[in-house]
Amino acid sequence: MTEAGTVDGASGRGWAGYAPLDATAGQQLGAAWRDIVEGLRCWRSWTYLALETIKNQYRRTVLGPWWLTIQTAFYVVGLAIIFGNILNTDLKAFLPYVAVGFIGFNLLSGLSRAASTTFVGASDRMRSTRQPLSSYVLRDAAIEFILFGHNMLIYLIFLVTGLVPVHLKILVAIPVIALIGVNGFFSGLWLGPTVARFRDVGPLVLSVLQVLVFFTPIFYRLSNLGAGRRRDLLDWNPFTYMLGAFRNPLVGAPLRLTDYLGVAVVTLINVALGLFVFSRTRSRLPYWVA
Amino acid sequence: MAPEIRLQGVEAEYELLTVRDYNLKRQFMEVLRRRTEPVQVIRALNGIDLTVPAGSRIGLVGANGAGKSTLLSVMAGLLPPTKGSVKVTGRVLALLGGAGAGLDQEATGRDNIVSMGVQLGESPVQMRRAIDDVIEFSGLGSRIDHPVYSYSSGMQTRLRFSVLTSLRPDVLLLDEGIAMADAEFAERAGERLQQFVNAAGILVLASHGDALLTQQCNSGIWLDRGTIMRTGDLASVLADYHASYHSPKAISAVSDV
Repeated sequence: MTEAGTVDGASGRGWAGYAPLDATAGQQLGAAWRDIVEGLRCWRSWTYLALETIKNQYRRTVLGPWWLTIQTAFYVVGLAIIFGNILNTDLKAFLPYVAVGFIGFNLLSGLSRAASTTFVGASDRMRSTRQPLSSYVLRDAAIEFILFGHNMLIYLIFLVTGLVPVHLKILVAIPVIALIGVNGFFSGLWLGPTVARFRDVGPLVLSVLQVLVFFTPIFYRLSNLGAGRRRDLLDWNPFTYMLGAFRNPLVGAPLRLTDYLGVAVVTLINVALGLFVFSRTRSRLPYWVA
Repeated sequence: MAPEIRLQGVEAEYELLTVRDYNLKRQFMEVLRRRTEPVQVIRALNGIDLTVPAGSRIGLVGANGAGKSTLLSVMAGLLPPTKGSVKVTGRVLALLGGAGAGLDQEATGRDNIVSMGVQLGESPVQMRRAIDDVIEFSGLGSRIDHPVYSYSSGMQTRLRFSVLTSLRPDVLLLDEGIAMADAEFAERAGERLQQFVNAAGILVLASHGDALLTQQCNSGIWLDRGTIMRTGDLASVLADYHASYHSPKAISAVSDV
């Protein structure tokens, strides 16, 4: 016999079922956890759908998603010239710094944006097909990573042309990118339901992301800034640590321990918050986006 | 195992979220002041008890807003009931929502066949293997390589119906949308549904068209404001339903029960 309020999923493929609204926190967490496991298990499905979505976004263009690479290239070269001049630094060293910083920031802000819109954007699909709810988050995060992959071509050019030194340290960036992915996924699990329930949060996230462009060291170095209260704002910005941890190994800069500690703390908070909010809201979510 | 749908004491309540309820600051202040105003709710389904055995062909009737689509969504596992339990044995597929629900409007019909199947748990490889049969049944011909935004509502419905029925469901739930297909397609769809039910599948069809219902279903469920008013053989359920709005007394007599 099933418990009150459950939708029995034994027969459905890859379906965790819903915990009843009056279930204990443990039961809710169990259902949420099964949803996440099912979501990860159907990786073929959401990676395919992510690729299709990008393909369709650019369907009527010749260059497709490579437009994004070109956009990024134009943007960073422009930025490097102007800011290199203002800060009076050598363009050759500054260009990779700005470019990798911008690409990293694009990934971070893109994942945050995707996290906030993920369930509201999936409402059409949620009303017509039954998929693990986590798979919507995974698809949207995968889209951001595919775009990131296109942008990283610029970094590859830096490596080939010798603008950045080839060094073993570069490998440090790989686990950092993976952790950024973990953060993107779990932030979708708490930000997605929050935005579905409180629609003001969506525009709020966009506003914050817009300001974060300035409070994240993308086109300046932390050393360019003096100490003081305004500098503290950067220390409270999680993107500061994630970007530092990602960029420094890639451009051959010295690694800062604080960056990696910061990433660890942010990851723990995101995972905890994601599991808490997702398990508490999962059985209500279909009603909020209906 | 034979397909079966079993609902017990199912209740589905939508929270009618107005701008007030969506407002995070307000909610936060209400919590601080320890005074929360109750959210308005719409009880779309109320105390639904239902067992549907294999091979059933059920027509779901009732006024607009009676809860037909909500009931189908709950059976499909798309909407968790706010109370009660839902147990469905077998693979459930549902054709719900607007004509293009779940379709990517920019993608071609062909690409949408694969994407739709993938969203329903098939692998891209399996879907590509099945694609020719789906295209043939849909009758879309060369239009299959055009983007879906160029399709009419009827064509989008045909595409979705063809994909769903090709995936061999045990339980098939159809919303009114199916009525958008043209006569030629309706005839072939009818044959396919017949084969499906003969193989002990369960069909639940919500419709306002008596002709379609009589053609496809043998039993009926009449829903009114979230409550089951009558179940039984289709003809008598339809007769009671139609009588209810012709004589106002009849409906009050029934709802007093």
